[in-house]
Amino acid sequence: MSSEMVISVTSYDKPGIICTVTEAINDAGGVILNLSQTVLDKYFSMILFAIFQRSVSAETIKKELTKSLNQFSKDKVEVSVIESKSLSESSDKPDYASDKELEEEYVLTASSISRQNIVAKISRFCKDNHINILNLYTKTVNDLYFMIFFLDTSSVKSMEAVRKQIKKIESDNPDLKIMLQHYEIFKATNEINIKI
Amino acid sequence: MRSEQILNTVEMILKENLDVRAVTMGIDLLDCKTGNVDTTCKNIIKKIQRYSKTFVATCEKVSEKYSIPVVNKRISVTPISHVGAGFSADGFVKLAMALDKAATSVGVDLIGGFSANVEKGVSNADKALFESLPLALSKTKKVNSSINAGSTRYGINMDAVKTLGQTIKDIANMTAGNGGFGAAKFVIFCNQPGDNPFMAGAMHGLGEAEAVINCGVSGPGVIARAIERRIKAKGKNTPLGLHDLAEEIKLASFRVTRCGELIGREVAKTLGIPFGVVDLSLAPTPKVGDSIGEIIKLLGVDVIGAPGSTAIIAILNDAVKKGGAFASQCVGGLSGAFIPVMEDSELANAAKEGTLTIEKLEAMTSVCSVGFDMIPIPGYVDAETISALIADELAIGMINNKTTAARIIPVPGKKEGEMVSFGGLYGESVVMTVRNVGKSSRFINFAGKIPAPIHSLKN
Repeated sequence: MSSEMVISVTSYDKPGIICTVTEAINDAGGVILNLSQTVLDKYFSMILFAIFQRSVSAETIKKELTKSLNQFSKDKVEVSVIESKSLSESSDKPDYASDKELEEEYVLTASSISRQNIVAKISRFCKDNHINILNLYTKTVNDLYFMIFFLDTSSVKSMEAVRKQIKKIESDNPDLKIMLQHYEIFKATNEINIKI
Repeated sequence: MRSEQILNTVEMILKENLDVRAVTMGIDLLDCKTGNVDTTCKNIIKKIQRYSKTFVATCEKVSEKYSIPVVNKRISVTPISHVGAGFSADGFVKLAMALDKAATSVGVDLIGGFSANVEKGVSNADKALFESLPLALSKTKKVNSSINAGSTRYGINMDAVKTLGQTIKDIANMTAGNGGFGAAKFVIFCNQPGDNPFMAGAMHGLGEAEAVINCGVSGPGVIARAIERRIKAKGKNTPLGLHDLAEEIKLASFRVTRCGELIGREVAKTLGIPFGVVDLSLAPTPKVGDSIGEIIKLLGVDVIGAPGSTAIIAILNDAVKKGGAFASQCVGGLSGAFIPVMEDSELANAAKEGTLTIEKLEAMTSVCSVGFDMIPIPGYVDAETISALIADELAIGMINNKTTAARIIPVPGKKEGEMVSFGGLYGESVVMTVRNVGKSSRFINFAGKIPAPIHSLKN
C-alpha cells in the first residue's frame, strides 16, 4: 500500500541541499510529485509531495532525511514529514500558483513603515473574505516595508465589499497603503507574449 | 513574476503618474440624419445614449480592477458636417447643443467630432459649420471641434485657412469672459487621423465601424523616472549615450502602452464594442512630475527651447513609437509626444521665462506628434497672422507626411507676458509673443490652394 507524504525542510542555505533531500527520498523508495522551494535571507526552505510505493511511516522518513542532511552539513536543519490528506485528489488539481491562469487571481501590495503585525492584519483580512493566499513576498525598499500577496479571490462574494474593507483597514492604519489589482496588469506590463 | 516587477508596476501608478488618459468611444451618426434638424438632434441623442449609457461605469469598473486611473471618458462622432449637410448655421448650432446634451446625459467629459474635412474644398455644409462655430463653442460645455484643412495627398486649402483665422478670433471673442476658452476646444489639422481619442481633435472618421473604443495612454512621468534611473545607474567608466536613453524610453513606453491596451480591450469586450486603437501619445498634464518639458531637460538641455530641444523631441517621439508599437496589436491616433504649452507646467514655465518661443515650438512640431497646441497668443493679433501661423504648421505636416495641427488661443484683452489660466487639465501659461504681427496679409489674401507635394503621387 502506498503512502503519500508532505515533507518540509528548513536549513541555512548552501549548494547541495535539494540534491541531498531528493536522493534520500529516492533511496527510501519515494517519487516526488511536486516541489516548491525558496531562499529567504540566506535560509532555505522547501516543501514537497512524495509518494512511497511501500508502506512507510512519516517518522521513518523523517529519521532517514535528517540523517542524510546531518551527514551533508553541520548546520542545524528542521525536517517535518506528515501524511498527506487525500493527495490523490489534490494531485489532479492544477497548481494555481504556476500552471493555470486564474480569472480571479489578484495581487495585493501593501506598504508600511512599521512591520508590526502587518502581515497578520492582511492575512486576517484574507481569511475573513475567503481569499486564499497563493504566494507571499516581502521586501524592504528605502525603509518602506512591502508585502506582495498573490491571491485567489474565486470564493469572494463581492469584490466591492472587499475593496470597502481595504479602505477601512487603510483608514484604521494611516501608515499602511494597500493596492489590490488583477494579476493581468502585471503580466501585461512585464511579459512580451500575453493574451489580451 | 518577481517581486521587483510587481513593485515597478505599482510604482509607475502610485508615484510616476501612470494613467490611461482617455478612453474614447467613437460612434457613427450617419444614420441619425434626417431632413429635419430637430429630428436629427433627437436621433443623435438617442443613439449616443444607447451606445454609451454604461460606458462611464464600465471604464470606472475596469479602472478599479487594475487600479489604473482612467482620467477621461470621451465620445467622438462622425464629422458633423456630413450629418448636418443641408442644415443652416443655426441648424449646426442645434446639432452642437444636441451633442452637448447627449454627452452630459451619459456622463462623459468631452465629445469631439463637431468637424469637417475641407482639404480639397469647402462645401455648403462646411461653410454652415464654420459660421456656427463661435456660437456653438460658446453655448456648449463639452463639444470639441476640428477641421482638417490640409493633407499630403491633396495639399492645403488656403481659402479655408484664411476663413479659419478669423473664426478662431470670433470663437475667442465670444468666450472672452472665459479668457477665450472656446478656442481651446477648436483645432485645425493637416493629415488628421480618424481614430484619435484625444481632444480637441477626436472624431469618428468615415470608414470606421459603427462604434469603436479607442484608448489614449499617457506616461510622461513614467518615462522621466525611467530616464532618471538610467542616468543614476551609469557607472563611472560606462559610457551613456543618447541611444541608451532612447532604449530606456522605448522600454518604459512598452509598459505604459500595455496598460492602455489591457484597459481599452477590456472596456471594449465588456461593452460588446470592437476595440480600435491605442494612441500611444505622451500627453502631459499641469501636475508636477507629469511633464514632457521635464523629459526634455533630463535629456540634456538646461532650458526648454535651447538648441538641442528639437533633436530631443525627435528622440523621444521616435522611441515612444517604437516601444508602444511592440506593445499594442493596433496603434493609431496621433501616437507620439505632445507639446501643449498650457497643459505642461515645465513648458509653460519655459514660455514664461522666454526660453521657449513660438518659433522654436514650430521647429519642434516638425518632429513631434501634433503641432501648435494650447498656445495662448495676444488678443490683438490679427486674423491673417493667425491664418499664417496655421499655414506654417499645416505645411510642415503636408511636406513631411505627418499630422500637424494648430490649437491657438488668442486671449481677448491680454498681451504677451500676461497670465491666462483655464484650470484643470487645460492648465495655464503666459500669453506668448508672436513676432512680425500683421506682416502676412498679402500671403493669406492670395488664398486658393497650396498644391500637394510631388511625393504625394505614389501610384
